[in-house]
Amino acid sequence: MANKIKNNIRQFRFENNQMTQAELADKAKVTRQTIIAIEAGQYSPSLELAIKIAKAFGKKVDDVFEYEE
Amino acid sequence: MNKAQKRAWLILAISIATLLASAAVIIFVHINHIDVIGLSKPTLTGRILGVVMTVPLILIVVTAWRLPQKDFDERDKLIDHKTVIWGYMGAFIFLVGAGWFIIIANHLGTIKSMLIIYLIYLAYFVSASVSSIAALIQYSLGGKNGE
Repeated sequence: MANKIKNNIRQFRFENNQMTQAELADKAKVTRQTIIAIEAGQYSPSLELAIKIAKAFGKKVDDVFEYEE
Repeated sequence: MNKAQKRAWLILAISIATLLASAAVIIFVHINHIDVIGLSKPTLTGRILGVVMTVPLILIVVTAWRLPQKDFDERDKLIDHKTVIWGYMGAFIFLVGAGWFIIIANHLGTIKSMLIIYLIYLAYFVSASVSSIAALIQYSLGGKNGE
């Protein structure tokens, strides 16, 4: 089943001084592997982690993650 | 490869080595006409299989108990929970299958109690192998959905 949650993490990373996946992982307090999996759409994060990632970019969760009907 | 994946590989290697070693012992005693189920030489077979299975069992328990605290996030926890379920399923299916096999193969309906202990040992190693494989597959697939 295709993942319906899309994200703009890659785009926001580049907009934030080309933030690396490791830097984002540090800010969200998860492993780089988890960021890679989320960015690739292979893993849908919990609400808590989604908020942490959005905060790392100074954005709202809705801006970073989208649910496709 | 993170610590959880390394741990899964280690447990898988120990389990497979144990299953192969146990199979080798069983084949050896069969070739030498030692009845494993009847345990006509229970001391010899029991001691060999006991050492072959107990040492790695302790190794796996110690390895599995030492969950990596650092670099272990929500995705790792989710994968870890799922692997436990897969492990239990593997052990359950193995025990049910072994039970049916014994009923079919041993129609007289009598087995040695030692065989039950070995089946429990084997079920543990099957469980450890299945959960390790499940962990490695889930890591390669990304881990799917968060809680």
